[in-house]
Amino acid sequence: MLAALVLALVPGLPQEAVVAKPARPRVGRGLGEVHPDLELPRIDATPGAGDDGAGTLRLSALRGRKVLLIEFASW
Amino acid sequence: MPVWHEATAPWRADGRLVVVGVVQEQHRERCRLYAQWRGFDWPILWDPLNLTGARAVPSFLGIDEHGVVRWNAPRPDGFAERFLDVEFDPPAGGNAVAPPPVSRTLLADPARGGMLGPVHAAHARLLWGGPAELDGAIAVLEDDLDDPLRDPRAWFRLGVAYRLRVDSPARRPGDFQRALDAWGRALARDPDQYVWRRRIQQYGPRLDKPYPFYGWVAEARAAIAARGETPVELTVPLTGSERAGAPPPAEADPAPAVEPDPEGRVRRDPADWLVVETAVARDTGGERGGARVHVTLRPREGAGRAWNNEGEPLTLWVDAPEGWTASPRLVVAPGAAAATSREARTLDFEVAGPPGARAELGAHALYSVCEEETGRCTYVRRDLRLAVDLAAP
Repeated sequence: MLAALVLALVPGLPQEAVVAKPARPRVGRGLGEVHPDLELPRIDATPGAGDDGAGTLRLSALRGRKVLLIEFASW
Repeated sequence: MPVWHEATAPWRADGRLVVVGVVQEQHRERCRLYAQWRGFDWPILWDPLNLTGARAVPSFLGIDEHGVVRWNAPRPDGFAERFLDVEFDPPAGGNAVAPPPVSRTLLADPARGGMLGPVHAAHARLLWGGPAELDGAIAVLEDDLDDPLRDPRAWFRLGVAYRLRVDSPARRPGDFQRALDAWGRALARDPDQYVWRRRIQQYGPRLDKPYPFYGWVAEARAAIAARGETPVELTVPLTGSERAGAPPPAEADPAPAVEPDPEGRVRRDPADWLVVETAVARDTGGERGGARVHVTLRPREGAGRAWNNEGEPLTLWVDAPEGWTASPRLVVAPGAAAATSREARTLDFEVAGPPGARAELGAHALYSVCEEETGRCTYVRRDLRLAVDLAAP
């Protein structure tokens, strides 16, 4: 959408000038910076608790507490 | 992970620390099983779309009471002294933070969020909407890729969406290959993104596996059962590739398999009672000429047939052309517990051939199916031609 607009407004702009956009680095994760807010479905591993994926947790809801954030995979 | 779980137990118990996990996996119930096995009782969030942007796992961050990142890659030793016991000053510029771009509230209000609102809403539909939302969300993400400015994350997330649909009742033919191709496009543009690379390797050939991705499942289920608990059920069966690790030493190769029905005497399936779909997961490590082929078979709608789980198991025999190898050549799919069933069954095997080459492999499937109306069961054969392309899309 945006690219189409850019190409329409700037005649002659070479395709490769806009195609090879690298992945943007993660932002807001540096030391001393406020961590960006995040909302994702919550997994409940409690036996029998069920898990319909409806539960959520927002990181900013934990303000006032110290948090250890662990990103992982089960392998 | 288990180290941190144990180390933080007293701090979690006395309320000094909250541990939050974010799991970078496609299937959340597999993480539920892992957490049940390990006894993780802290909240875990499911991020199949890699919304956090994590490039590798595991990673650890200490975030203070103001929401400020204070320690990247902390260690349990000294964690209390250097982090828990410190009263941090609030940031000079304040600690206001923008609301998360993807939120469950977008399900009710998809127009919110400016230009990227529809894409973020599509992500929310994938995370919280269930199977009924998959088609609509995928249509939005496919349309979004018309924009050449899109960065590779869009391709990765579209691949996740296709794979979510593979594992749902909304599955469409070709979705698995679409997922693999989309992930491949994303990784080609950002080869150091290891969360994305692992998503392909999960289904890929053994030569490309850093470790067996789900080799722990059997041990976990046994340990949980031994505790008297019921293990979390895996709604999506593990493929052979997901259980397999690095290639075994040559001397450990099993005895050659014996071809079932070598003379083709078993009666042919007269009416294509099964739908057959092939997906090829290529080696992410470059031109090593390896891939994992996934062949999915399921009873065709309207054919009136179901798997006969009391008869012979579904088997696949593979013949590789000159210059190619297939391993194992004989693959057997376990049946379900019920007498008959209609689920999709995936059998997978390794192929190796000239890097970048294409080939058509001969194969045949043998299976027992029952006519749903009469209950009459038949053991039949289906001859297959499996196209394998080792070139990147």
